Amino acid sequence: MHAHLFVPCLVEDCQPEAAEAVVAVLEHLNVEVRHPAGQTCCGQLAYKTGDLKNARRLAARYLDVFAAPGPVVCPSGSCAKMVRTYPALFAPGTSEHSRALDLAMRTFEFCEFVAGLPGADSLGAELATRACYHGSCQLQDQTDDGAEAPRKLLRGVRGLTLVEAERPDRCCGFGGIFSLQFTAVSEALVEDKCREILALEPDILVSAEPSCLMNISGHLARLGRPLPALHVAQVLAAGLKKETPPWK
Amino acid sequence: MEVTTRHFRQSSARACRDVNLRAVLDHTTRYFQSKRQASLETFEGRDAHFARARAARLNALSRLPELLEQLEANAIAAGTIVHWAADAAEARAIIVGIAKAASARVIVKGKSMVTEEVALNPALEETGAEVWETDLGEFIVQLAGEPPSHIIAPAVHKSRQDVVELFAEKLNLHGESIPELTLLARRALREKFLSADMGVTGANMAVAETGSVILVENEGNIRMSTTCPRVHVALMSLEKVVATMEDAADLLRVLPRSATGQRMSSYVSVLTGPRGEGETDGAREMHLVILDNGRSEVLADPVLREALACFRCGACLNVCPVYQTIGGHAYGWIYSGPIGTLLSSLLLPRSETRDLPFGCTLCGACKRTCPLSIDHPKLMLALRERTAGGGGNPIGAAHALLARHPLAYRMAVGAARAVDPRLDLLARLPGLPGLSRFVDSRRPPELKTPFTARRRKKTQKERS
Amino acid sequence: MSGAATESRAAILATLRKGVAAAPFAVPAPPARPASVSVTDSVSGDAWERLAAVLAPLEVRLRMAGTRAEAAKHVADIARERHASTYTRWDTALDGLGLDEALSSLTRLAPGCCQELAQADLGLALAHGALIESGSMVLVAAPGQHRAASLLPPASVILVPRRALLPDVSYLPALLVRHSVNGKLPACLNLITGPSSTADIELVLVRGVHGPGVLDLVGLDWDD
Repeated sequence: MHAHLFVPCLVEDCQPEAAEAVVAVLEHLNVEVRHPAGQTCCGQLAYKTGDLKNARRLAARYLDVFAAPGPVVCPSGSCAKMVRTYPALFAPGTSEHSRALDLAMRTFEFCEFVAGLPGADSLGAELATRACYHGSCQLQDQTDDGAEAPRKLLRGVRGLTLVEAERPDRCCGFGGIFSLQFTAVSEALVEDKCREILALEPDILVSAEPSCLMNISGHLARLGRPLPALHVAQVLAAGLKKETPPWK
Repeated sequence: MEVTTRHFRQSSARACRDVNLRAVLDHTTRYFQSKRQASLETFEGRDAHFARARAARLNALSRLPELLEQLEANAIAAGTIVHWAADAAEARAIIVGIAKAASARVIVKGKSMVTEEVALNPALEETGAEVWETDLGEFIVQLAGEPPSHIIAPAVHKSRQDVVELFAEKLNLHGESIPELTLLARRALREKFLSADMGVTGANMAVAETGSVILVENEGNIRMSTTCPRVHVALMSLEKVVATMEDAADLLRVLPRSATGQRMSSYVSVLTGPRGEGETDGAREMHLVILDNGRSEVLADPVLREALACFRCGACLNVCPVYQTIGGHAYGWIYSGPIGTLLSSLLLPRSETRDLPFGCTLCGACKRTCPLSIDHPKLMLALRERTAGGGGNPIGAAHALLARHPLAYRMAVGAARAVDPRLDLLARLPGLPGLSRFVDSRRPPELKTPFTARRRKKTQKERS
Repeated sequence: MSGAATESRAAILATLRKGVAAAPFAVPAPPARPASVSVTDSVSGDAWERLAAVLAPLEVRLRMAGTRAEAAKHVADIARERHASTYTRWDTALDGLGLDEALSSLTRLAPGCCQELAQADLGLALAHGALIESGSMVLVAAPGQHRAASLLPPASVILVPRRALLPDVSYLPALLVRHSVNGKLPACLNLITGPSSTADIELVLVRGVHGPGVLDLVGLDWDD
């Protein structure tokens, strides 16, 4: 079996370790990972600022980038969700529309994809850590299985204590363009989130959404209470090696 | 009230800094959420009831013109006088006309968002009449000269001490405890009910097949307003009509649970015409004013019209992280929270509301909570698109331009990495105020060796 | 209707018609309404007990009467507990229960204008329906069945005949039809679920803001 790796722009340049971990976990589960060239941005930023023209252009690019058949796996709930939105960007009956439907059907958020693979229940990962999981609101729109997949995978890691903030699914206040236009509200929300997370005294912060990780860990750093902020894939990959790396 | 939606960004920032407000909002929204949650846990067949409620609302919207005509005909047959108001000014003129014809000197009002929407009170006061809000929360905000801040609990932003001082100052009534204050309001308003010539209410729904108006409340002030005064005027925004009493019953099963966690609100009144012959109370004259005020235009938009399905339970406000943080007033008009953002954007001039749909993280908590499954984020995006009008935010547009050209994109990121790997400087370039503020409170991520380069290196190593 | 109003009516309807035509709705058929728990469903317990259980959190007490005399005695007890010296009640609907005799030490106020009835300490009315699922009393206004009786006095008593017991609010349309006179719907039907209440100041629950602060029910548990 093979899968195409869809690397979100934030992961490509700011958290490449997450994508490396995705490769490690998939290969451990005997999935051959291909990495199509030409990836930049899926169009989410344009789409969420109301710039449909650019969103459509970028979506059309990605239809080409991921034209080859086979599942597409992405370590970001919001980017995977964006690809699932592609069909709405093209008129029904056009070839783009049918290709968008096809791509949406075979695009998966990393955790939901892994949880559905044979062997996922017995990964054998082991990591002694107290992990605070942030269930990004961007994963909530998936099926219940999809939203629960990260928790399921983390619970399968021996030695890992899974804790969740008081309001686990509450938005961390990022919201892309929102955080730039409504800075004060965004800050108030990330403050709430950090307070609730710190109250749990975790060793690490884990999420399946890179943008939430960036937002929350960035504020924790400014508070002088930094925490390693990891994608679920990084925790699994470390657990497979059975050693806690010097998290960066 | 004055519309200040165009200052949404500034007023939301101001609200964030109000520590007392934040505490009140935290308490309020948690209170409503827990009440609602507890009630839904024991709600047998919840999903089916929700789906029926949604169908009842959508069915009504799909047949709106026909149902309104049917409502009108049946209301007239029941003895109700029906009026049509294209906009707020017409609604005011109609109701002022009714008040004048009835020589109304004292007018009592039940809680109604739509009477706030058309700014009815000042117009009625100009006739020389006393106008009293009679819902306790509305009464408090009326005395304070403020607009309501929550659909269900208009005065949640006021503390007991605020009310103590307000009653002393405005009414010369002195009480300390909350039950005492409530009793003072009861006595003061009881007098008004008994001397009122006219009662004005909104309408939670109206039933086309019977011509009935349905009013839902907990205090009894709406029953008082429709029982004691000679004249009752119900102002209804046109989307509130439903086809049948059966549909209304389906909605009544869901509305109180979703709003306050009650199985049924304390009082539901089904009013069909003025008092019958031989009855000793109830209004002798009943008016139904059907208000458009921009809604009919929305019906042609296949995405945005879903906002008209809302029956104002307020549940989306309580779960919205933005509302939880800034409260209702910051939105700049009577409607607040996720549904308020949508309604204000649809009913007010576009130039006034450009920022509203961007004051949302698109987290979807509203959509997951809405008993009618209104997809607020989807509508929010449609409004953003309408606002952007083809163009986008400058940062977004620049990013999109680069993203269309992978080589240029890589070069841009490479250049950034060379000069500012910690992204501390770029974010502070002039012209990007949001970004610099962002990095003030979040340490920006580092630009690292990209994944693609790492992978290439690894593959080469494995090959050699 | 004035000229301007006629114009608005036509314009509103025309815009709505245009909107529906421009983008027709596809409304999916709703699922069937979940079946009501019937009044006689013994598995769910005795209907009266179920009603009492729903009403308990609302601080509404249901007293059961097996005979008319018992009902009258309950009403007299309630009047005493509420320190009532005046009352108002529905006419024909409540005649024959001996209520006036039971309340002979009180002054009965005749129905009429609200100002006078506002002096009553106690109001007596009859439930035309009692919705077990929500604990709602259904009261239909008619001559001799004044709305104020369950609204103005600080203490409200509703007598609930056994035949009034119904599963839930899905019976609302049928109740309206049943109480229509010559095809004309009653001008006012109320669902009353507990006493008047508010939580508008600091979300603290207070009973009895504009309507009655206390509601007592008397179950008339016989066939009639």
